[in-house]
Amino acid sequence: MAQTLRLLSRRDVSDSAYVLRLERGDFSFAPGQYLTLGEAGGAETREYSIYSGMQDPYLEVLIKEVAGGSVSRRLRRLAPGSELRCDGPFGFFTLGNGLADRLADEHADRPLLWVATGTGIAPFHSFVTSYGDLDYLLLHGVRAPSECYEREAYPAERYLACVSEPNAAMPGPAEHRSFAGRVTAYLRHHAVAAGTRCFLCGNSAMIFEVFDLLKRQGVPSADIAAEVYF
Amino acid sequence: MTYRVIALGCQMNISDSERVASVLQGAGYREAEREEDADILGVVACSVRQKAIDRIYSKIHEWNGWKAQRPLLTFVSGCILPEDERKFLRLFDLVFRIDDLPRLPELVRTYGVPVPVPSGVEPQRSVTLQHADDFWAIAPRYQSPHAAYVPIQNGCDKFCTFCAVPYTRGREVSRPAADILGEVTRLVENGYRTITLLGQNVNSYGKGLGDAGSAAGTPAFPTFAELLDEVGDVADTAAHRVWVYFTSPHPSDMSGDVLDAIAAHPSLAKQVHLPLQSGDDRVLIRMNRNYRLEDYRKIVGDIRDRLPTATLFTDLIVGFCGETEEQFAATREAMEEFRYHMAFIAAYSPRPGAAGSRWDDDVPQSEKKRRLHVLSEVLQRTALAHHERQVGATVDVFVEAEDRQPGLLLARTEGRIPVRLAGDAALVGSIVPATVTAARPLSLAAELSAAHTLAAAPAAAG
Repeated sequence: MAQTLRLLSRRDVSDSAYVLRLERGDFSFAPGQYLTLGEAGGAETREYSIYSGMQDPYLEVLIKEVAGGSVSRRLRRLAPGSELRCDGPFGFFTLGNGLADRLADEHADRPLLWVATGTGIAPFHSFVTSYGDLDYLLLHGVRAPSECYEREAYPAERYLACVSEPNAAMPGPAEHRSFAGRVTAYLRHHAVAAGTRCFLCGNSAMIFEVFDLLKRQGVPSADIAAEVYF
Repeated sequence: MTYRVIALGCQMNISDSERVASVLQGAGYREAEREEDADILGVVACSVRQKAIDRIYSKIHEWNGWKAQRPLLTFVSGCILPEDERKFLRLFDLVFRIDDLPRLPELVRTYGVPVPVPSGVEPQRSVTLQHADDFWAIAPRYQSPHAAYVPIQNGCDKFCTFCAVPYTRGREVSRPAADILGEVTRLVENGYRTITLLGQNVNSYGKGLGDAGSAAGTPAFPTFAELLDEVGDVADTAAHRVWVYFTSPHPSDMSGDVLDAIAAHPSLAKQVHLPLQSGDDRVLIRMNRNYRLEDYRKIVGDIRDRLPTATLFTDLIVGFCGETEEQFAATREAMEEFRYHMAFIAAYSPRPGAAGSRWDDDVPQSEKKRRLHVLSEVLQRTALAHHERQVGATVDVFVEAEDRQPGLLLARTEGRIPVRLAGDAALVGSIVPATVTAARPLSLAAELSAAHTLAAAPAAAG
């Protein structure tokens, strides 16, 4: 339900992306869901996937400041203690509800493929933070290594950055692997194992392309859950 | 003091306007025959559709023109986007969310004509959300003595990217079952023949509420299937025929239990409205519809198995952002496959506030029209095939109104197929048997069965 929550802090995770931490209030959600957020008293709100875990005593959202975007710019400039209007949770992109739930419930022992672009990594961060033991591979499509937001949150063997900018060097520990190219290029060369449940989150161009690719590889559309960012 | 309220929008807006009229009536105002005679003029509208917005502006400019001649209070409510609310405040005297309807008399007294506002008091012209329960408690002033809408839910949590309803009506709120059953019981006792349960996603009714508010073991919010069962129990025992409908359900919440409930009760009409929106999985993803064509296909199969006589209606959008020719073709194929009796087909237009309005509306208008035309042709063909099979059959029809052509009546079958037939106006409001004489693409022609060809009184009808 709609409530007013105070901003606790902001941490920048790149030049343009940041995480807002809000007080939790009595906000309950399932990992993968999103909320709507705007300044208290303002008319505009935007939808953001919840970044934090189910057990965390606070709420976090991962936001990219959009050139010309009014809400993402204003939210970044808010001081701790500012009041935010928050509503939710919404959405079905969870391991416990809707289409995604069906995938989770019926075949809990099947491997998971998570594909994200940019801030579309947020629901997967929430999954990882909330649930202990998941058999997943996270493909994170980014233009440059600077967009690998807080990749230390994922075990190195489960996180693969797919860097689309040519010749972009991957700084950081050697155990963090990367792939030079888009997530779609990676998937073309690495067919998905039979029985894999696939979760896609990010821009619609990526989702459409990956959806078609997975279908061609024989993944039934019922095994593909998607959350489009806009 | 007199009032006049007009509804510009869907059944939900009509239902809301019935409650607005009831509140004003309860506050001592009388309904004026014409807008020109009213002291209070209100519009319950949908700011989701541009066409409705245009009509709101046209109305308020006309009404504001009358203010030079006489005192007049104007208000607007319904499905209003926040940015429209700010614009409306410059044009209307009062703007309020429909949930705040119980406070309308107070607003009228504070700001309105009857009691002058004390100096120094800033009138509160726009109010914020109060309690949905107060809204449900308002007994509506039904527009028809035979057919009624009963809201069971308000708002929407689905956030389809083509729709602004979550931004205009807010979160999904279910109405307590006891209220719904009370209203249905009163309607049945008062002789209503058709009752339509209304909501943006009726079949997510009570979802997640569990035993909230339960008393003496009776949940305040049963599941939608359980609610239908209880409504069916009430309507089945009526002294006359009653057909109960519901609209609109969402495919992702459509369970076998709902179909079983419809099958089990003669009063639950054998008609299902199941919005498909698109036959292409990628477009469904972009629309944030949370089901795939395969899921939808399974539900249609269940409907045809469990409710073989049911008619199937749908909603479709053509030309949604990025819809390719191939994706449109998938919708056309789905239409051929599901053989709808009726489809409400819309060419996509961006709704301010909806997520899709931030995407390129990149299918040219002429192409949208072409796609709409293609689907309309498929509909006419599949519906005609259904209708042709009815010719010669005797079916019960609900007589809704007199036709503009003297001597003709407008009726609908239980499956909501429009029927034109000759008959006496005294039959309006009754359910009578009729023999289908001809099939048209979107309607039937029929003749009253012998017992009703003379001026039969409704009391003698079913």
